[in-house]
Amino acid sequence: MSQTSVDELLALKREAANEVVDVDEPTVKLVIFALGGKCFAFRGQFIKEVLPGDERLFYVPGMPPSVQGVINVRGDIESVILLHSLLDLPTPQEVVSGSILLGQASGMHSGIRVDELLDVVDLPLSQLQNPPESLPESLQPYVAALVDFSGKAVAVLDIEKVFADYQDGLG
Amino acid sequence: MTGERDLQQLSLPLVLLHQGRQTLALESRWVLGCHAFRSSEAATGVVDAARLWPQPPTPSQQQLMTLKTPSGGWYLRFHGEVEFVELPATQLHALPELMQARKTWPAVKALVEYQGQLLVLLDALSLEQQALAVS
Repeated sequence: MSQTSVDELLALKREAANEVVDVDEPTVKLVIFALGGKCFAFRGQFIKEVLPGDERLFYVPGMPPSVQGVINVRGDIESVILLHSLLDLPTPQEVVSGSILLGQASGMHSGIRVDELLDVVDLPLSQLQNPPESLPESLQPYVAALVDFSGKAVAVLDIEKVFADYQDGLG
Repeated sequence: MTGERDLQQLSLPLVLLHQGRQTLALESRWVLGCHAFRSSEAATGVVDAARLWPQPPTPSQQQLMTLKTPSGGWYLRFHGEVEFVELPATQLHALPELMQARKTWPAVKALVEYQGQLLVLLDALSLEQQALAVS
């Protein structure tokens, strides 16, 4: 058995203690999804519910193509919108029928259709990184942070900005 | 202030325009009448629905609806069927705010639940403005 000095042992104990403190590090819940071949996320606090996507969707005429229609969620009527145009993602060739995220922020709410729900995770806040300057210009206004998820870069979107710009006619 | 209990006492009389897979609703107070259109009828003041919104394919016969508004009246010609219904006011829903902000057809006013479906309620006055603009 190798001999270790008391100081080294105390340092190791301090490190271990710090690791325990790390468990209590603030975390953030992320709803991670695929859209247009990329990975995105919204903060969980802004997503009221995730619907499987097979809800009956009602077409409403006189809307831009980014409005898929409306759904009836236990008596509450929610719009269902697509973000491809707003985020400058390739326009889907087929009808997008993945999960619907019910988002709510700054007094606005809507269903957001995604290609696929990937995961809902709690991550240490420290794992969120500032978005790089190399981010595509079309995404820059909406990406609040980047995070690594299973080796993939996930862009965390600012849902308040998304809703505000969508309401103002973008996308 | 009108509460949910009061809303349950109120009703909403509507005229439904069934056009193939699409059904639109109008408040019945603006509809004076409707009958099958005869080609011999005078076409003065008649606006084809196709000039106001895209017409879905339907084998239904052509109808002529008489609409009255505070500024007068006009005739709407369309292919479809007409139905009068009276729904509880609780089945009326405001257009979701993002859709209200983004609508490209000003006549889209609200939504109504009818037989498990959500239908678009059109604003007859806005529709009249649109009809005036195209006629």
